[in-house]
Amino acid sequence: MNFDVIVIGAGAVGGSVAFQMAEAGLKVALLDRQFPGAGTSKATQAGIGVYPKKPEANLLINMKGAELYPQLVARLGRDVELSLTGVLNIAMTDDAMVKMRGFVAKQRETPGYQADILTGDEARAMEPALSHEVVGAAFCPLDGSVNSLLYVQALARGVLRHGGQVLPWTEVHAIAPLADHVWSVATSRGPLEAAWVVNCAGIHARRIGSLIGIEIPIDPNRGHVLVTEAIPPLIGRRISGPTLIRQTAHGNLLLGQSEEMVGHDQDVSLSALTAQAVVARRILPSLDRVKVLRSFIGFRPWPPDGLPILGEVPGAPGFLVAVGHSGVTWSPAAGRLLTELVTSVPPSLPMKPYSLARFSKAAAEARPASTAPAKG
Amino acid sequence: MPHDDLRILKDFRRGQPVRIEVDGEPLQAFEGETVATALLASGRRIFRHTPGGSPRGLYCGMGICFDCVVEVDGESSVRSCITLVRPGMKVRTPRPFGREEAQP
Amino acid sequence: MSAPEVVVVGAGPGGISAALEVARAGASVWVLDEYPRPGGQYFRQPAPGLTVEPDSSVLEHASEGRLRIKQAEEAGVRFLPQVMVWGAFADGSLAILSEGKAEVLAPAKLILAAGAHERPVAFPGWTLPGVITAGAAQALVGGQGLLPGRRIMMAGTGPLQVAVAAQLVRAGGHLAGVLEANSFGALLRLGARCWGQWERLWDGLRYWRTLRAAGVPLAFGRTVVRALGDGQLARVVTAALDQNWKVIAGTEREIEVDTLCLGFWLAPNTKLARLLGCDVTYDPSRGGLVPAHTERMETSRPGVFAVGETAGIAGATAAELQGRIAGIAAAQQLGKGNPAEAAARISAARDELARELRFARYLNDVFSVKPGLLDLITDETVVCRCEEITWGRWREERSEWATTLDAVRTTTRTGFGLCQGNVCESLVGQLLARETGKTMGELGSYHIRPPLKPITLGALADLGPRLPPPPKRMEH
Repeated sequence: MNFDVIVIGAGAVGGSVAFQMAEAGLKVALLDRQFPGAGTSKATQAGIGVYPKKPEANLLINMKGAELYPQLVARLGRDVELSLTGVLNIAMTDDAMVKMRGFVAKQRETPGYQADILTGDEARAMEPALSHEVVGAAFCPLDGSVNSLLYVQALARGVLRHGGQVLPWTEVHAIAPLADHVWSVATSRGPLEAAWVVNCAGIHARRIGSLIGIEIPIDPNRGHVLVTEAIPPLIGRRISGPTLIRQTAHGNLLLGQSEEMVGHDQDVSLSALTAQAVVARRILPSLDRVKVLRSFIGFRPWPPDGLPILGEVPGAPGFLVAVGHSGVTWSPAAGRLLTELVTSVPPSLPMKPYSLARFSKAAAEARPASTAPAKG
Repeated sequence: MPHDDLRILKDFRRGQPVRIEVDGEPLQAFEGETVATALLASGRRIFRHTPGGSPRGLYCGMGICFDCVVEVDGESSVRSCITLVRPGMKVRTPRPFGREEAQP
Repeated sequence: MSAPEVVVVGAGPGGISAALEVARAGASVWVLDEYPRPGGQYFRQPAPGLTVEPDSSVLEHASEGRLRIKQAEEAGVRFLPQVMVWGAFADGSLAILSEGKAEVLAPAKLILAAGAHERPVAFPGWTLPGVITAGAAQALVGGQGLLPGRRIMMAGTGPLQVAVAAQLVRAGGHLAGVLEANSFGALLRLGARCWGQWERLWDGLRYWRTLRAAGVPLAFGRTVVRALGDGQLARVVTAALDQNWKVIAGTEREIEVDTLCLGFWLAPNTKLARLLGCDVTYDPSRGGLVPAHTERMETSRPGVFAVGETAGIAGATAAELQGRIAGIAAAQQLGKGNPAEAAARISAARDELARELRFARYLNDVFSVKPGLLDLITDETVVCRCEEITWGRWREERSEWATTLDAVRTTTRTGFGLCQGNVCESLVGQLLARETGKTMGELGSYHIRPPLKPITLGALADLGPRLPPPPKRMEH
């Protein structure tokens, strides 16, 4: 089967890339080894996180993502619980306040960025549920959240609406160039061909990269999240700092931000769960008697330097990459930038900082396959 | 008390009376009774309204379905069917808080 | 808390029997249960503070249960009622909640005897207060000395609802009717298989006589199709069913009742087994999703056993036999008990068990919920009670590629509420199977993560600083 673009991975990033390319009139196939959103996109707090990103490049692409969200969601035509009420990054100690001030000052050098430093009382005026232990906060109005479960479904449905195909439960076995700028992708559903292949495989991006002999330095960074029962509105903004907290449109609170490099270990750690509970209760004491319904584990696709890996791969014309941490946040931007690339439109942001080539020239170059994969 | 006839008298002997409060009103139950029993025996079968506004009460009676949940002494979502009454217990029946999917 | 060598989860017939064997062999054993008294459903004991005449006809199996519990206690079994098991972790630790405080246990062996739950059957109005399960009626009468209502309709399938109906009558309840969804003919075919099951037949006869004497109308090939009332149940609509349990048009009748008891047979409670990573398979002849196990009732996870309804719907006698086997086997693994005697007793129990399991398979087959009943569900009928998700909404939200239960949960939110899928999992599964044409086995199940049941954030937080150092790995 022939397409213009094959997108591997139907999460927030792959979905956004596929949708925007399909909107632009390209014939798109969106593949997933399970179903759209089965990976990290269903195991994330799905914050739209601008605040914590380091200037310049990381901050720029995440700001771009946040900026593009409302328009993208409007084009999806479904309510995906997009909320851009900002984030309160809180400090519980004076030391943390000092660090935060310094950090915000640096970030403010990036044009378009906004953040204000608040006292503890000002933070509590904004969010009365916050503990009196909160010493101060930074408020960034650019942040927010989305329901990534709904967002991912809407993206995939959008691909269908624009004449693309969604191929769930499809494994990619091999990828090889058939000719210059023509790729053959061998899948469990048979071979597919396209001029462009986009690796949006999240924590599996490394494996997909290895199929064409390139190293994509993405490793899983595990996080535990607690989910409480639905309660009446308690907080209106995301809380970050010692942990991550947000309240969804349904009233459930998502609590937690552990970071563990443990490979793909899916076993829940009791101490990770209790640690999330301790810090969440300290910040929002009224949660003490609220019920925790379940927990989940998510794996962040973690690049060594925190920057997304986006764009072309030298030596592999037509093979693109879009992977990294905080994919939910910059997914609208990734979709825009790669669509620009593929349709020869000048990019909305300089792409060089995100290039795979930044890691090592040798690792970034593809080893061309000697034969095309067998058909059928 | 109205609906006192739900308590089986044949072969059963109740223990000490236990006084609890439901939504601020006093209610008398007996030792060993669950909060659900106390509510049912007082003629009350609607234990709560869901966030969407649906009336709910006892369903599985075994602690599995969580339909019978009430707030007990400040703790939310307590299963009334397996929670024994305690003297002075304060029970509040949950009210809706405006979620869209309200179904009868 | 000092640590027992063996923990049994669930104090029903299976759990009590297992614990007794473990204690007799000389190992320490605790039996954990959520209810105020041990006994589970089958041996339901009146709550503490409630006194009942020891041989009251209102109680079913309570005296028998009391004897078993006493026997177990005398052998050294420690019963811990009002304890909720909420987590199990890779290192073998078990997380519990007792008196509002979270604790961690690290037994060497674990025996799962968590019982069963009633199969959910949905129809318009099924969430109205006044609509309860047969198990709820049983718990109220036997455990609380309370009638569930003043004018009661029973609808469902199988011997369980007949037993409960008879119990309600003996307790002074007024039954407006008992509806068996299977036709009389279908039951006659089962009757032929009952040869040799004398105790069961005798029980059945007793129940039937009680109902007849009280003038309770019995109907076959009929069920409730709609529940009505303003805020709570006031009336139900019943209708006749064909062999596939599809409603026969024109047979609807409305009747005033204040309580509807639904008893559509049972399905195993398997969440703890699944959380522990035990292999499970879908087996309709055993009631649905069941953990795989060896002849000695050991699951695929070494040191974890499953007995009773948790391992497949087969009744109390089977549960006790399985409990005996697992208790002996677990003790053997700990080096306790005479091996030759153990082998002989296990072998004898297995022979008896085989007979029980054969009969149980017939029951599970005859009293399975036939697919025609799914047609009762309309667009407005709630299919996930906790999240208030209707069938119509489910169909809208579910993407075509969501072809497993877990995928459907992610895309429709069913199973995300307080009960975490306890009720909706099998219902949504049946609907998904119908939509996709897949078998129940192909759909998988909801992914299980701790906590198994809701726990306050405070209890979790308070546990943090008290967490013991990682326990020794479970012995194999």
